Amino acid sequence: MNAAQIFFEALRSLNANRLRSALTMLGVVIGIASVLVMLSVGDGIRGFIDKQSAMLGSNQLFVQPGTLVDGGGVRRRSGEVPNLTVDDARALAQLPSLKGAAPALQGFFQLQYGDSNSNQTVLGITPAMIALRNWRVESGVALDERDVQAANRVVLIGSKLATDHYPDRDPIGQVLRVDGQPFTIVGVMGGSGRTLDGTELGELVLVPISAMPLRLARPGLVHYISLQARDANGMADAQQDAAELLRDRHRITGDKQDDFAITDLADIAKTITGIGVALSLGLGVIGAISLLVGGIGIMNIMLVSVSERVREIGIRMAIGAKPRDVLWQFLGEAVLLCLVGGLIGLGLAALGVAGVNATGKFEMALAFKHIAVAVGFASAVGIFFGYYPARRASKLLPIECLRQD
Amino acid sequence: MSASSGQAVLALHGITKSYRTGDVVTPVLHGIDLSVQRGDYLALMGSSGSGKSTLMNLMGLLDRCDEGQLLLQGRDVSQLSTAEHASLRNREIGFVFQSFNLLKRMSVLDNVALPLIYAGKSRSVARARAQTLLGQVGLGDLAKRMPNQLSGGQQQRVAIARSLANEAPLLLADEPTGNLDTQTTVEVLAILERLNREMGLTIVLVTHEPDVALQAKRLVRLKDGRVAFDGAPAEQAHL
Repeated sequence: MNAAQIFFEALRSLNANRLRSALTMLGVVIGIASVLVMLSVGDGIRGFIDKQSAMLGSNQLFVQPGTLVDGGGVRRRSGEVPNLTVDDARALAQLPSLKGAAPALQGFFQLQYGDSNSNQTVLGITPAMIALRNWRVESGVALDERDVQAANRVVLIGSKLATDHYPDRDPIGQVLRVDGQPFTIVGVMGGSGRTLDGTELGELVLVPISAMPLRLARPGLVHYISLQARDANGMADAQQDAAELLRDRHRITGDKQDDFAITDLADIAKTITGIGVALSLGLGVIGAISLLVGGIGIMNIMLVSVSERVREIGIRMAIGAKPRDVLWQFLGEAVLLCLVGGLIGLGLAALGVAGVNATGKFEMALAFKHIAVAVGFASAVGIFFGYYPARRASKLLPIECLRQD
Repeated sequence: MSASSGQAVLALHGITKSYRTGDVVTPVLHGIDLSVQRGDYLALMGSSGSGKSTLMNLMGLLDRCDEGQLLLQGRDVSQLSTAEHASLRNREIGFVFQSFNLLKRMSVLDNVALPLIYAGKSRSVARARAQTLLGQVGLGDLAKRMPNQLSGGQQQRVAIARSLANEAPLLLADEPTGNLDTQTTVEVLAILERLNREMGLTIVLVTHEPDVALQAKRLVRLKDGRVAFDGAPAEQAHL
């Protein structure tokens, strides 16, 4: 018998017991779907991290006032005033291990666009921030040092805000009120999507740090400072240099605790990757267990099938089926059962992936390699669990089989 | 194939066979010597337990003898492997059983084509040949039916068509009319007689019906695992 004939025989046999075949392949369906979703989640997270790295800019460190507590959260000691300053940022920018340091203030204000308004996070920054974060000015001009020095009331807005609030006119040159104060729009930022630190690129509102309409406890204070190390290998050195400099400037000596915290944004990416890996592993374990249980189910049903069809085996042997032919017949059935299950699992995984992608929050991919994995795994389960029953069938003696009713 | 070639299609020398159930050994055949010539039409009779079915299974390579030699077309086949036996059953021996033994999930056409598939023929070649064979037994129009849609006589004719698929020189028929009524028995026997006469097919037929045995050219009667009679059926069939 050739492969096509084995396939036809297997198809005929599975078709004769449709309900049983469907129930038997359920474990394989779930197993393959889980394995595929696992792979797809893994790929999706890698893609997400890559995209994030590109959006955040590379080799980013993040300095916040307060003390770092476990888990990466920042806690401010009670009664203590945040004390990172523009001067700190300026000093940090001079460090040879750093490519740049950009201070920022952050506030949540009502924005009035003329006839519409919205509440938005506004960032007060210096031009260094735009370069450091890889932000792109789509039209108009960026902020410059003069704007910071003169505290010019100019503003850059994200592309989503521009299209939402100025659908039929050029936003550049328009006046935008931030917390009631008039700012002139000088540029529109490109890009969209949310970065790891929660910034929605399409909804950026950037003003010179000096023009932020905030009442600060002390002039020159900032909410955080973004740092960029020279290169990926120099992250630890950069972090240490920055910490030493800040301890020095803040007169923290001996074993006194830092009044600031430096976070490597790559650590956050690592945490997310870790969560993704854990999620993938979880799905992988579910997939493996499902495949194991499904495989045992297939072995069980194939054993039942062999004992039900002893007479058929006898007839086939009498008219010339060799043990090998019988082996292939039953192995073919087990493998076909698994392959059909695998393909249904693939379909389910594709539906799931399409569903997740439709939410727009996360992008997963189902590639050709995944189909290969589904087919490969399903065949492997079929061969592994189908071999024993098939071999048992092939070892039967024709005369014993024909005596059975 | 001609009846006069004289070469034995099947020759048995000193065949013994016993069955073992636990510690109990039940001898069934005690040294059978038998030769079936090309073109023979041999009826094998014997009371229940005389060993005729056992002998038939040994002749058909469905079972192995304990001792003795079994020559198929002059070649000793008793020690061959299981796979070689399967191959010989496929090409050299056709089977017709009392209970027809058609595969119920397959169409009549595919049942007849199956030995050809096992012989390595393609599906289309096998089906074309199967269709021709069904025509020869008068069932050309019923090829697409499933076996359970046919009468007993029709099913037995399908089984005969299947036994002819690979042009095996030897046909072993185990009580082929046992489940058939008188009229159908006559029809099936007529087909066997025609195959023997026109194609020179060698037939060994197990039966307990004297009327059936009378159709054969030669009668072998077994008694207690030994050949008790070997001669023309007219002398012995009704004993």
